[in-house]
Amino acid sequence: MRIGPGVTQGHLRMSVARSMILALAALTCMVLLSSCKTVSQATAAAKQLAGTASELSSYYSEMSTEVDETIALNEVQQAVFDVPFPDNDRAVLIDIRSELGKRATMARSLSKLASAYANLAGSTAPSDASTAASKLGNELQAVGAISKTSSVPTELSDAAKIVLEFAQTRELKTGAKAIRQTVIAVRQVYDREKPECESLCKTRITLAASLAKKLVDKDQVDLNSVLAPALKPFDFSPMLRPGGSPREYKDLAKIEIDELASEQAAASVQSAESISNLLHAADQNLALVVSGKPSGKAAAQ
Amino acid sequence: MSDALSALEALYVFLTSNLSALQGACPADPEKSQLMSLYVAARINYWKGIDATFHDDDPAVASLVAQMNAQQKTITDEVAALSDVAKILNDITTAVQIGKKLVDLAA
Repeated sequence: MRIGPGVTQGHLRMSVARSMILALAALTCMVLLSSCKTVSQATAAAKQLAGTASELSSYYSEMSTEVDETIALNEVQQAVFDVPFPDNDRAVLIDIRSELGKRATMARSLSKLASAYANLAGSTAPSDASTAASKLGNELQAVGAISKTSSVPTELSDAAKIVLEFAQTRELKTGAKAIRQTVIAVRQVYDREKPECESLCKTRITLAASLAKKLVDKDQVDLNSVLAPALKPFDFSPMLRPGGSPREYKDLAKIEIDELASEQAAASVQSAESISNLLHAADQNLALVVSGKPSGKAAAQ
Repeated sequence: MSDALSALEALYVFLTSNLSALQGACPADPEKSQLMSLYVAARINYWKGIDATFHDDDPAVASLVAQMNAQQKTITDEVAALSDVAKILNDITTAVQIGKKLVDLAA
């Protein structure tokens, strides 16, 4: 049977078959490309999260060190001002420091899991991802709240369940969901506790400034640096008279203490805000991986 | 930050910044000793406040926060003048007691 001029049914069958093969090939390519894109997106999101979680861990470690410094400052205050620093009061600070330390460890594990997940996306180290997920899952369950009556542990333990499930399955999508759930929980905890952390920084700096001023008044501080700006261009060194600095120099030193204290308090607020923004960005990137949407599309989840 | 913790922080920060001036204004050891006890009490109220969750929408909490803020303003004005140490210590005592009630409500 002829279909048209020069076209046989055999030709048509071959043409249809060729078209179907081409369509199938195109479809396969699209699926593969989409899959590659998902893998590369997942890898990029995981790598970014690894960096963010590492910064978060450093932040918590620094906060923990600051609480240590607060304990030391209260000991100095006891010596300088005769302010009692009983063991019960010290214990409250030690508890807070311990909770911050747990958060630092948990954030470090999240960073390790994110790195392992990036490798899993490249199919190189599935067992690393499993080990890292198990470790993080256990640590998420161990974190208590800085504020004892909040619901923080529930959020983290929910995330822990999914992370532990991922440790068993090691499936890419389950992993992305588990990591995102963890990031959401960690971010909620972080944002909720951020004001308390900023407050701890502020009170530590205030206490340090108060002690520094008292020591200036008691002539127990070398004030040469206060005069240095005037003499430095000529390569001279100040030589203060023995037996106490003039009041004007002490006032200058106190102004400098106040300025530096304000700068440090502002820097700590800025640093806390920057971590919050990084966690938000990490959450958005993971949301794209979980939803399978390409980068650039908003993840409204 | 919750209004309650903010009020507790304000008193502790204010006393820390003005401790030297207040200590210098105390006429004798009994007043100095009272000042130190009040400072330690304000400090532990603040630290316990860090370790607690306040419900600012609770009318009892809101009322205590308002009382504490008013008391803080009175103390700030009095310390600027530093003319009546006995009254300052009395007002700090009231503020610390309100702070303790706030912490007890959260616990």
